[in-house]
Amino acid sequence: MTCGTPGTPDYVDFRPFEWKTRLDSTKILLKHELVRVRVDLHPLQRFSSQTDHATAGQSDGIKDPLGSLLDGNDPLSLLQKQAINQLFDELSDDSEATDVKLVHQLIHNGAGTSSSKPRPPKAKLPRTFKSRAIKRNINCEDYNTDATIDIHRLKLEISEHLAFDGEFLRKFRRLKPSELVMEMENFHEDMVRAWKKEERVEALKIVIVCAKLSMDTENPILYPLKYVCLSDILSKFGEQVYERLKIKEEIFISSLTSPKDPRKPASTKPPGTAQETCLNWFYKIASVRELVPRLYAEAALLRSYSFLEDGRMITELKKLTKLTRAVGDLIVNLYLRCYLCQMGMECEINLVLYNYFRENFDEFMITLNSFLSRDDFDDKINLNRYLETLLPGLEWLLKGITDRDPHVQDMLLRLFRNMPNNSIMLLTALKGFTEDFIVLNIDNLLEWLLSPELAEVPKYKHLMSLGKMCENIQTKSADCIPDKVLKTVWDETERLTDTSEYLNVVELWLPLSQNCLPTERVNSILQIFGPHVAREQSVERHSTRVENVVRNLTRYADDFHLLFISEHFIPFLNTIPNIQLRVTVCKIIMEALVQRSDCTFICDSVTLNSVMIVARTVHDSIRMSTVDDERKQIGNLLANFVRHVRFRDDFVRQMEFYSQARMIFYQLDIVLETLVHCINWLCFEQLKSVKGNHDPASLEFAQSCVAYNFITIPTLESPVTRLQLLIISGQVALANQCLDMEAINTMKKFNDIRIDATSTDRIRADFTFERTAHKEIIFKSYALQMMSILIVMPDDPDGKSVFRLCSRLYRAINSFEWKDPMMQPSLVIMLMRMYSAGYQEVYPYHFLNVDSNDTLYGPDELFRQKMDTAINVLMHDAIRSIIQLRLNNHYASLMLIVEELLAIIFAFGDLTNKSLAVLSIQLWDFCKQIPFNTKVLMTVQYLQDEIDTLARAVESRAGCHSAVPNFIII
Amino acid sequence: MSTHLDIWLKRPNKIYREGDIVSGVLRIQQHGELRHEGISLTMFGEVTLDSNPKPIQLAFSLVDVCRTGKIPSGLTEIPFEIPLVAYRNRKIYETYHGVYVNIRYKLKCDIKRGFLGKNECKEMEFIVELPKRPVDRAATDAKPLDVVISPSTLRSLSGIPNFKIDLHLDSIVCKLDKPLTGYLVFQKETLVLRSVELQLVRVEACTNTKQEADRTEIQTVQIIDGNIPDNLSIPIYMPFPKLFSCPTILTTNFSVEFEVNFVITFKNQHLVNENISITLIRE
Repeated sequence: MTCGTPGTPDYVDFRPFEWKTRLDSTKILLKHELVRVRVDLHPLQRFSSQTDHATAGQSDGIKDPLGSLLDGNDPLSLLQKQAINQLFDELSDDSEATDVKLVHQLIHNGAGTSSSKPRPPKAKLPRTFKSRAIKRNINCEDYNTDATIDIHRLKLEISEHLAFDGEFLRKFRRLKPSELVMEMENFHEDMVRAWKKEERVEALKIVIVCAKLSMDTENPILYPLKYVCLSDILSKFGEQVYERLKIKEEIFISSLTSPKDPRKPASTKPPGTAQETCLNWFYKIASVRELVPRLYAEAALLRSYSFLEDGRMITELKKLTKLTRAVGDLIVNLYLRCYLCQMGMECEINLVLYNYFRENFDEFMITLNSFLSRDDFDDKINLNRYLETLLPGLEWLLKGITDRDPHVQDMLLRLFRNMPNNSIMLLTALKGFTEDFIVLNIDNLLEWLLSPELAEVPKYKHLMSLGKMCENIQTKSADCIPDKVLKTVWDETERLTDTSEYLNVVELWLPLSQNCLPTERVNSILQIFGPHVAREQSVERHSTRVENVVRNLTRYADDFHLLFISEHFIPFLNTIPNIQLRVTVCKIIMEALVQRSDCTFICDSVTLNSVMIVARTVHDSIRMSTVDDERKQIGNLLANFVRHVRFRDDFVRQMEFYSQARMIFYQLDIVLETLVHCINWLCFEQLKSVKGNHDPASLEFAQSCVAYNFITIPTLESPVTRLQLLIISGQVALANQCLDMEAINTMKKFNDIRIDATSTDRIRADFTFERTAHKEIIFKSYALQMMSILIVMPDDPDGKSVFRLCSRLYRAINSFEWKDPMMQPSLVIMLMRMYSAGYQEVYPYHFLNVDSNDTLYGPDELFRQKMDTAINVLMHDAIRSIIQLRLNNHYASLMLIVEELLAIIFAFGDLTNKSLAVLSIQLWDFCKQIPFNTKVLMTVQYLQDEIDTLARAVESRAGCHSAVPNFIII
Repeated sequence: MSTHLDIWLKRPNKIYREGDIVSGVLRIQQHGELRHEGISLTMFGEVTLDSNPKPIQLAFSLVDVCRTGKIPSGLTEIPFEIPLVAYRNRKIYETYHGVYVNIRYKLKCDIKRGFLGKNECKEMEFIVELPKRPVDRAATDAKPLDVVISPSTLRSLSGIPNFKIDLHLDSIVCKLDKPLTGYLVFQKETLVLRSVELQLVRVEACTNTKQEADRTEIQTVQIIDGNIPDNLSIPIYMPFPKLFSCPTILTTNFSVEFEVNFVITFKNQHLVNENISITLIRE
């Protein structure tokens, strides 16, 4: 058989024909049953996002492009986590606290006390970190230009005149922390610059000016920060002097060994010994008038003593330690001692030879003790603030001792305990003692904390320090914190009056109490938490903390359900004055509800009631202006919650809940969709409970379920979702033998929906689907699904119309405005297939307990006639489409349609009917006339092969009635 | 054509004692040839008194380093050695830079250039230190001093609250190369201390003018800052400055003596001053 030259006929004239369905086609189909293969993995499971990609036209990539990038954590959530952490760091209640925090951070990181393991002292002082931390701090603060100018002017004053009068000091005191750091950095740079220009005395002067600044303790909170900057400058200065002396010594030694080197340019100065220059430095410094700058400068040059004689460093450090007694101000005294110890470490002075940490600490204790023994403090609050400035320094010194010599801690604890006004010492102990020691002596420390002498002292800091310590212990050894400690801590926490402090402590201690958070505790937290949160102004400042606390509370509460039945729970929610925060808190609770593993299903009505209030708050927060993402997030939360409610076998109650949920969560399509799915699930649960056979009562329930869906689905906005749900609900209805109104209505609805779907979709097409073609593909797939259900859908018993709903579907197909010219005819052909299947004696599948048309009308001739008539109409419709396509020159589509039509005729048509045979030949001829028809050749080849195979099969089974002769005719 | 003349001493610290030989090199950095009519080096020591425009010579020696000749282009180093000895029957004193009395030792190098050329000249000071002679050994023994300062010991009494200060100096005969040491103990009760400063004061007198000795401050260092605790011994530590201090000198023509002043300032502006004479020696 060859293909003729493609002609272009102006019109196609098909002879009139009559469709007749062959009866045995299904039997052939049934013979070639597919082999079932059991698979463990769903083929689409791993690439769940593939469908999306396919819709977007990227179907070629099978590998998930994101999967390879993500190993456990996706970068977005990591980023978010980081951002949140940063936020916690930055968002403190007020600027002062920020400063203190920053200062602590600087001091601690600078001195490297975070680890308790003994390390070489050098490694504990990562100098670079300090400047990095400082620079980061500068970057994060904005500067207004005025301030910068001011600083610049200030700087001029200093560098030009090195004046140090009251005016300058007053200006300096007004600086913000970041400005202070900036200013000190400037000094640092000036000093280095002066040194490089060989103006060494100038450099020394700058150092002394900086050291003088350290004598001012007017703003104690900023003092540690100032100290860190100052120690940087001093150490740099000391280093420069040392380096220069070293070079000098080398030059001197080389000048002794080789007095004349003609190649070298003659120096303009006689070689001096390093020793001589070194002495000169010390003479210079010894004549500095002020005590503190003199001591600082001398300490900075400590290393240079190594040029004088061995062991001189130790004697000098001893001397400086003694001399520091003369500094009356506690803060200045302490930080000067810190610097001495720091220098001791930097010069690697052997602690066995001279334990400067111990000595300085003891010396300071004498000063502190005599200070605390005084009873003439006027201002206790300021005194406490003043003393708290000592903490970082004290902690650092104490760490220096305890890390190397843990045995002294017993003695020190007794010493601290016996000091008057020892609240500060308890804090120091909590921060500076080793964790092991604290674990051992926790009883002592608690007893101290509760002692009457500390009765009036606010325990906030102590609780925080203890918490931090316990945090470390817990992460290290995963030991539980004794209940006794927790009890004391929570009792003390309840006494805190300041909201910010209370929230801080609760925030810290909640995760620590995770293994022991009984309901009573949760209740009392809620009870006290409420009034704190109720203050309007505090909420604004602490919303993040409140969120955190609630998050931890929900995460760690022993019995989550009991939280909801707590008498304080709902009142607590109601006390939150800020709606925004209340909604956030409710969201957190909902999240926890969904995430907590121990809280699988809610089944009691008291809990449910509470949760409903929470859920309702979340839902009602949705406004017109709510963004889609948030809507989606809330929707998912609530949908999850809906799935969490289970009343076991009480289907009616379950149904009631779903009705209530539909009423409350009316704004969220996701929830409504979930509800429909839940109802379907419920329907099947019930079917299961009656073992597949409905009694009248259960049938009634199933019908009410179907009715629920029938009402709910049309309220959804997305037509695609509606279609999907309708198909599923329709099947559920069928499976539940709801053959009367509900199921039929559902099906009807499906056909109706498509008409209005087109109109809505035209508007939404731009963002719902990328192209109209996709929309059509989706509709087509749904229509096909629909057809496969309709086959087994029984008709009305009156028998007036065959496949009544199909004709509706046909009308819907025709009324749809197809963009793709192929869609309509291909759907019509599919309908033909469906009718042909319906013609068969036994349908390929059935719903359990549902009698399909094959059972109802099976051999009825009238029924079959009606069927043939319907197919005939469709056939004509298809032919019309073919002619239309031909006229519009849609060859590609035309080809496919004709092929499909031919396939239908071959598969289902009774080719013994002459008119049908003629039609098929005509179609075949028509096929050959289509230009550029490369497919025909392939088809012909394929058909030839098939015929040969069949012919051989027929020969072997002689006398068998088959369609083979018809093929041979072609 | 430029000449750069320099004197380098062998000892980097430039410190010499009586009888030592001051040695070093003359360094002449020269672009082009230099004709000269002799290079001479003078070593001299003198006391300058404010009252007397003519200095008192303590030491003097002149060395002709080089006769008339030429110095080649480039760097020329000429070593020299001059003994440090007293001038006739004069006595050598230590170097001292004061206000009314100055004792200095110098090296001076001259390059004579005849009529046309400009004479080149370079002066350089070096330091002379004198150990105590063995004869004075008795005077070098440490003499500790304890002073109690309280309202009763003060001259002006105007309602100062009670206080007591124990001042201890390890010695009032101080060695120049050792610091002044001691301690202070306060019992000040309600008084609030602001600061304690230690002044080093020179007392210079030129006896021939019959003028009264003049007290001027050499240096002041703060030894206590702020309100230190009671009953705590606070160390006193002050090194003596170079050049500006020397062993106490008492001669017929002039005298240089030293004192220390403790200036104690309380917060209510009360000021207590304790003056102590000290003797400086060198071992």
